[in-house]
Amino acid sequence: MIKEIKILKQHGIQYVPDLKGAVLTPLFRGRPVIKEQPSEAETEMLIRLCPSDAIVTVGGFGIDIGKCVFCKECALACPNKIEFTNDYKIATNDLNNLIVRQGDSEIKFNEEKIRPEVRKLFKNALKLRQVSAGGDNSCEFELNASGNVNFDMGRYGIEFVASPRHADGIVITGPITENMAEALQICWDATPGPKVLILVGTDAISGGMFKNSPAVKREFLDKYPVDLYVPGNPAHPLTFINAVLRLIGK
Amino acid sequence: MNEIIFIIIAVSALGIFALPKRSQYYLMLGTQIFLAALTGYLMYLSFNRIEPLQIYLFDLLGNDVSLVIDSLSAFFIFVINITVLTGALYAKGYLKPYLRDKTRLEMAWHYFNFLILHISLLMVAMLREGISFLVFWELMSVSVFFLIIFESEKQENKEAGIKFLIQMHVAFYFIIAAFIICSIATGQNIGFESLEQYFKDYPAFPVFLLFFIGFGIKAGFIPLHTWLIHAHPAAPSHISGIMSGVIIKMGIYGIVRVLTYIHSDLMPIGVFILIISIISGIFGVTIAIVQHDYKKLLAYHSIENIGIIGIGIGIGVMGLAINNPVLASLGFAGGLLHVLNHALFKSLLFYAAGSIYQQTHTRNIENLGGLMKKMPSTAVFFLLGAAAISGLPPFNGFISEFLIYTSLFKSLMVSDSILSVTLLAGIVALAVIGGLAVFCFTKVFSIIFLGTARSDKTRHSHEVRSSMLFPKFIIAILIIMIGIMPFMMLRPMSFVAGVFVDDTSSLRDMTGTMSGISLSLSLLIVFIGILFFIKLKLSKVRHTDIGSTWGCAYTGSDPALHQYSATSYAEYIIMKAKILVGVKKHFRYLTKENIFPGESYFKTGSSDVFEDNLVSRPAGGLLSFMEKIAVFQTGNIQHYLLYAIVFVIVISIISIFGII
Ligand code: SF4
Repeated sequence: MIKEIKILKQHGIQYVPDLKGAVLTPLFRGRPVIKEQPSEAETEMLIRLCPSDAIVTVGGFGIDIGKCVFCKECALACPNKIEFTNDYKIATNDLNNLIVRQGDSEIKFNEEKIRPEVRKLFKNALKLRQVSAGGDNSCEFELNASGNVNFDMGRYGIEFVASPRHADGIVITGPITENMAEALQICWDATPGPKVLILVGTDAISGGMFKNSPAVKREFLDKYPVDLYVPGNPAHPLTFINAVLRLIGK
Repeated sequence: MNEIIFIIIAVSALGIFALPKRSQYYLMLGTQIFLAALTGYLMYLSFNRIEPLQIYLFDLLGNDVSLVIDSLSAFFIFVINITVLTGALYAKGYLKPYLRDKTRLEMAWHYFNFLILHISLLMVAMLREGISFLVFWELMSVSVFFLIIFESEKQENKEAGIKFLIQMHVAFYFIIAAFIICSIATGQNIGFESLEQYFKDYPAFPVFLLFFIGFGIKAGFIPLHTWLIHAHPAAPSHISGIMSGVIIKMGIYGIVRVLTYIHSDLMPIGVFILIISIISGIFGVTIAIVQHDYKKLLAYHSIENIGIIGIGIGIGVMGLAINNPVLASLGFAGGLLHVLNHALFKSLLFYAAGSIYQQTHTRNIENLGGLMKKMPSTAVFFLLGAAAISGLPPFNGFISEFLIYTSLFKSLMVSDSILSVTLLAGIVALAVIGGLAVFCFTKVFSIIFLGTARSDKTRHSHEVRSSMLFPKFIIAILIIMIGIMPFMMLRPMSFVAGVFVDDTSSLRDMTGTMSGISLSLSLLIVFIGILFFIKLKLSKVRHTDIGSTWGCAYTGSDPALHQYSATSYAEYIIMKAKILVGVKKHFRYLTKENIFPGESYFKTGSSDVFEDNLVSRPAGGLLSFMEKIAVFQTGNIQHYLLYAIVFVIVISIISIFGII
């Protein structure tokens, strides 16, 4: 008994008390900031440098964090113009808001796009089924961590369940490979409506580095509206939890 | 009057052979209804009489053969008629597919035996005179034999039939031996009457044991059950239902009939019956869980239920021994009410099983699945039977088990410590049996009716015709009626228990409790009804998606493979029950020669430990011994002549030397 208490004391407080206000280490690569427009030549160079075509030039210079794999190569190449902050609240429900431009200080949520029944039904309890559609296990690990003692998203009634029959929505990780496409469809069909669709990780949002692979089959995403995009490679548990809380209005 | 009835029955029985294929059935059914009405009338006359009703029939070798009907006989007549009639109604639809392939004579022979079976069952329940009793007992076995081998083109059916016939004759010798002992010792004619005198003068236990083995083989007490588990699956389903419903109960009838004459040695007999029954109950249900063949599984459940009946009877006998009318009447009433209840729900289950077999042509539950969507009515009837057999309220199985529980708890209070241990074992056993039965039926029901079909035949099955549903409906009504109005059964059961004990007031005192049960169960049903109604209303408002069964999004060739199998569901129990059931696994190891392994297989099966050691092994030994002797049988006439000469020489040498 005394031994156990000692261990408990030694471990100290394990959980993150404030999930919304927690501050991550400066080393964390979160939301990029464009301090200054790169020059034409630099842009040219950055496009060649970026491994996942995340550099946007249409409508001015920007970084699409739905495509970015957070390798930081661009920041290293232009340290005065591009910087990665430790802001982890980078998820949104609108694909357009994922493009970071000069002067942006946050990733905006599009409140109008949120379906009313999502807020009404899932505010106090949201059970999710995770489908790893060709995922590399990194996002899956982080999602797993979201439910552990440290992050404990269960405190908000958000949980992963074993069967889509018990779920209110589906969380997809991975670029959706051909082999998983049909299984994903079956799983989606087996989930009772109304249901939410969440994409976690760059691979899921845009296909990431694999988007041109012949083994990827992403037609599923054309058919159904996505409720939430959670960027990151992999996404941080705090990113995921804050995104979901934002979605359900908590 | 008697003669006229004889002639009517004989003419219609033989008339079956003269009719064309399609009308034979109606003659049989008509005769059976006539028989049932006749015996039903006798039953009505005899109930609640102090002296049994006697009807003189004829004179056999100087003995008066007459029907003697007391409440016990009347009760069994009721059970017989209900089960046989529903079986006959069910047979019409069940036999329809066979009408094409079977000849007119084959069908007539089947119907004829069905009728003979009904007659002999009724006669066995009513006769007391020994020789005629034994004749009808034998007639019953033989007619059942022919009914079992109806599909005799299948080798396994013939084997099951022969197993049945052999074991029935072993049983028959035990019964004859017991009757002869009583007859010789008392100097009276063979018959139940001689038992009265015998048991007064001699120790009861040894002869009771002979009777118990003889009748117990019929009843299927473990380890005398080995015929039952082959005959039930082999027989056509209406016969399986009747076999499980009444034929094995005739064994129980025999035992309780003998018990009415015993007034000494009651304590050891009671404890003996109780222990054998506990063993039968627990082993029966445990082995049932392992089975893949649903009819065989139901057969093992018959053994389990015979165990429950036996527990009731055992308590009753112990009650007689310690002169406690409360115990005796509750025990006998509980046990015998379970005879009726089991006849009802087991025949219901077998008829449902028959419907499944007719549609899917398989008895292996691993090939079924998803039948609830294809055969909704059958599924509901099966579920009802399953709930009843598991002893769940508000169905009849609960009522008889409740009576037995009550008697067990009451007896705990009055008995000494050693007896208490036995009784406690009874309570625990009954609880364990109930729990395991629920487990077993969740397995059967979910594997057969839920999920996705596991074979093509199953995928293309549909609901059976209404003539096959109607008899199930009748039985279901009776099951629910006994379940929610148990007080209704108290008066008749007190008459039946009155055959053993004079004072059955304790049963009548149960009226209050039973009304309480009835009230709470009715409330339960109303409550469930309201919930159902609300659900119905709600689901009308809300939109409902209908999709396929969730199979873990498995996209391989057959989604059914991804479901729970019966074996995996019961894995835990199978592991624990290894001593009782020999689980055998046959498979080929994967080879490492190629990157992709070649074709392989995996098969599991189970065997009954009692059968292996008590029947198969001795029979195998005997057979191999016979084969060794058979070297002399060469088929060559010269050799046989040589044997004859050797024999003559040996005889002459022996006689020359005056040895003989
Ligand atoms: S950090 Fe993102 S935008 Fe920059 S180079 Fe890497 S992938 Fe491209």
